[in-house]
Amino acid sequence: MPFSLSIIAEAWPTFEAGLITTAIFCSVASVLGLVLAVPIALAQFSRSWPWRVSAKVLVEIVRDTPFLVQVFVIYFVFPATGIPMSSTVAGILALTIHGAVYFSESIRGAILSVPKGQVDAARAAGMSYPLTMRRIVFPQMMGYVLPPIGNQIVGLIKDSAVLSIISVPELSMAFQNVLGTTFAAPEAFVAVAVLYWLLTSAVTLVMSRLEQLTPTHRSTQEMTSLLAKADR
Amino acid sequence: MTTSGSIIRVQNLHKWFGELHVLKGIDLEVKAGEKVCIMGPSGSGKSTLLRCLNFLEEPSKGIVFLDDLPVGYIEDADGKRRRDTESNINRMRARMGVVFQSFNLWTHMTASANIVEAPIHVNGLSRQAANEKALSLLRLVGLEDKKDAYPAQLSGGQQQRIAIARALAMDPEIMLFDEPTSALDPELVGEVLAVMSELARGGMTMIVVTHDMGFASAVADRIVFMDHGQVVEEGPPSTFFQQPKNERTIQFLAKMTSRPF
Repeated sequence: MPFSLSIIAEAWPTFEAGLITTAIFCSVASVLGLVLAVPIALAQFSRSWPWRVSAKVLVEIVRDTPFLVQVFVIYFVFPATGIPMSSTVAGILALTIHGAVYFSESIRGAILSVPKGQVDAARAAGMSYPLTMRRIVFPQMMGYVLPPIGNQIVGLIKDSAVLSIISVPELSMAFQNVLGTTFAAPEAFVAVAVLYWLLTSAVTLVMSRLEQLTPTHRSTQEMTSLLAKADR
Repeated sequence: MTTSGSIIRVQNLHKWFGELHVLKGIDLEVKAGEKVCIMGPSGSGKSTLLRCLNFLEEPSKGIVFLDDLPVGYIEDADGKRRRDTESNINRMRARMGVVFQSFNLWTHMTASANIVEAPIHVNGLSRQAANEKALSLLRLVGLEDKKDAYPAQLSGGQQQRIAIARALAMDPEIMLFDEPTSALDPELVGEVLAVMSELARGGMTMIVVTHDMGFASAVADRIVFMDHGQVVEEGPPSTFFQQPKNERTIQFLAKMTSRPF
């Protein structure tokens, strides 16, 4: 049987629905995950040990278990304890927790990469801890945090394929449906691969644009152009 | 205002870093307007002492008073001390300007943004007033033309002068300098010391940790010599440099003056 694009065209509505579901799930999980990641990262610098320990435990549990198992736990264990769980809620929840933990590790690393003297200078000037974080640490860590966050969002999109297991109608689920009805394996494989690639490329593109806006990137640029001028 | 007449009073200050006993009972008083240089070999605890003065390091024992108010602690009725509130600690810190060995200018901000940052966000100064103040301070340190430069575009000496302007922008009652010229190329030391001497002439209270004997003898009212976490000797520069009494001071000064420059 020859490779036929028309099969993909016919199956397009299914693919499109899957693509949109994947995009929505990953967007929501990325945004919620980033919001949660900041306190998880900051808790690990807390002066009080209960905060430090609980954040560390959460991070270790999520990092040290397969995503598939996390999805199962959320989808099957929660209902068993009386908390109702739809595949949509379970899917978004699993992706969000997974994302939050990995994002938080990037944020923690980026905070550590800001030289201690920068914080000393802020505290010595009477700036409070929140003000120091907001005005000094966060702007400076943006250049360090965006590249790994971009990688992790791409990872999240690829991991979201696992959600087909709890029948979330996302892109891999769509692929399986198309495969089941058309039996056109090569076409379906190529289509699903290209669609995932498009989605992740879009994320990569947006992230590299954002990187160019960070203060670190800008001051590096200025420094480079200055050195270039000095060399001339 | 004060009962002791001193702006800074340090009482029996101890600091341990784990097993390491860095400060072993420091007593020190600095009067308003006084210029005190702290000298001593590296590892003698000079910088730690300076960082304890504004609570960047928490003393393990003993206490620092700023205008007779304990820094970082409040005493209960029964005399037990506990950590002061964060906002009180921050207010206390805002009254002391600090200049660091490695400048520590905020790298993502221009020179003038560095200067106006704390006055606006800590003291609540209007942006316009802060900008005017920044301009006059930039003039004071001779760097008006560098107001839009980022720290990476400035030489070490220029960065340190901006850092001094940044500290002055908070109208501090006292300035603390932690080896302000130690990270500078030799030819840049002079411009920073000139600004500091100017400041001293203006009557600012200053505590300066330094290895610069020329500056110390020209500017200091008193030299405090530290070794192994203790104040070993103190006195006016003339006595300190010409008739040191303590054996360790004599050894240190001999080493300093025999350095091949």
